[in-house]
Amino acid sequence: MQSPKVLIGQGAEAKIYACNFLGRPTIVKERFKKTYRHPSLDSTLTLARTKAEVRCMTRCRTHGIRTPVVYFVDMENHAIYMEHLVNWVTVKDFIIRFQAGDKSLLALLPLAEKIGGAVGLMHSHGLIHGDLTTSNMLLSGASEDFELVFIDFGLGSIEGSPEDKAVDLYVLEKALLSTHPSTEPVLEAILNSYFKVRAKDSKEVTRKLDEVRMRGRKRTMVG
Amino acid sequence: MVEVYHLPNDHDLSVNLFENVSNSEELKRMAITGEINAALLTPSMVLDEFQLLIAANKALHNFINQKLTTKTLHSELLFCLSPTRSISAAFQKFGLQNNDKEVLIVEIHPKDQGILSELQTKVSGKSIPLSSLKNYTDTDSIKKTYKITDAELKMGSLLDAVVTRISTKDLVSF
Repeated sequence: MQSPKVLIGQGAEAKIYACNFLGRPTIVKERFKKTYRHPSLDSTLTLARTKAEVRCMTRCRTHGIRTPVVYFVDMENHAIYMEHLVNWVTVKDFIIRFQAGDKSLLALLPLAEKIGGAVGLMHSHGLIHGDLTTSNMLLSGASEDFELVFIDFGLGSIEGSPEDKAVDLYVLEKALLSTHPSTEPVLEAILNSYFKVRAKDSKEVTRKLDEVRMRGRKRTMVG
Repeated sequence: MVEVYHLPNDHDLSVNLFENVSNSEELKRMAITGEINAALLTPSMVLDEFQLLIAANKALHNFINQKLTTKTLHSELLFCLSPTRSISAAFQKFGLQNNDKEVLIVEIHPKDQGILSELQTKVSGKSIPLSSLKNYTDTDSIKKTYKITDAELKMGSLLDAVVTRISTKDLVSF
């Protein structure tokens, strides 16, 4: 059974549709043509990005990190059909709602640990998400028994270097702290959990992370 | 009985499961000559109709875009089900074998133009509901053939893992 696609979002790279595909609720991510580019270059680039996204998402699954199941990759239209996790909430919305209540931040620590552990596992296999914001993490289920899913690997890559990993962590850091005020303890818990994975390049990544932090806007990179 | 599912591009997927089949070799011959225009699968490698739908959608897409790897739409369906790029391996693992006693006959056809009900007379066996498929599915063989990891099964179902391999075969090596 297929229902017509309903546009539910649009980013810089792609349009996101929801539909019913082969009897299942499905998300279709369709990258559009960038007419300012030379057509053959655009096609190559868009195809390469689509492939990289699918590869990254799928590799995560093989290592036990949950990502949406890919149902179909339409190379001709640069579209990825994947499972639609209906009724899951973004970690972003979860934290916002949480902070609107009056529970202590400590209650967010299990979530932080899970996030850190998952990103640590991803990085230990060389997988880089590329856009680790709280909007790109979904949550399901009740408070104790929740599951975490990573979405939008549009900027993802495989075989990441310590520098790539540090940048990935830095994006997460900035995204968390700017979207959710006063969540430094949450960030700390995420990073602790991340480094508990004890990957071979942990020291390298820590060093690079410090370096990357020094690079930001309005910062002088002096010693 | 023939069960029908919808595919994109105004096509349908018709499926019929048979047990106590005594003429598998003959059926295979008929598929080769074209007397039977459908895919003959071994039910042991099929977990769920969704697995068939995912493979059929891909095969149909390739057919419509003139990008078939194999010669026909139905051989393409068999090939799409398989996790490897070897056509002969696909037929060996997923296709009906000469002494199989069960067969899953699958047809991709334009909407409302299925002929599986006519094919039933050619099969020397008993047509049973698709819900009985689980009696013939060999999950160990499926796990081994599709190279599914334990880590994957901890955070998703076996069907999720199988579907992933079918849909991303050309892009990812497992």
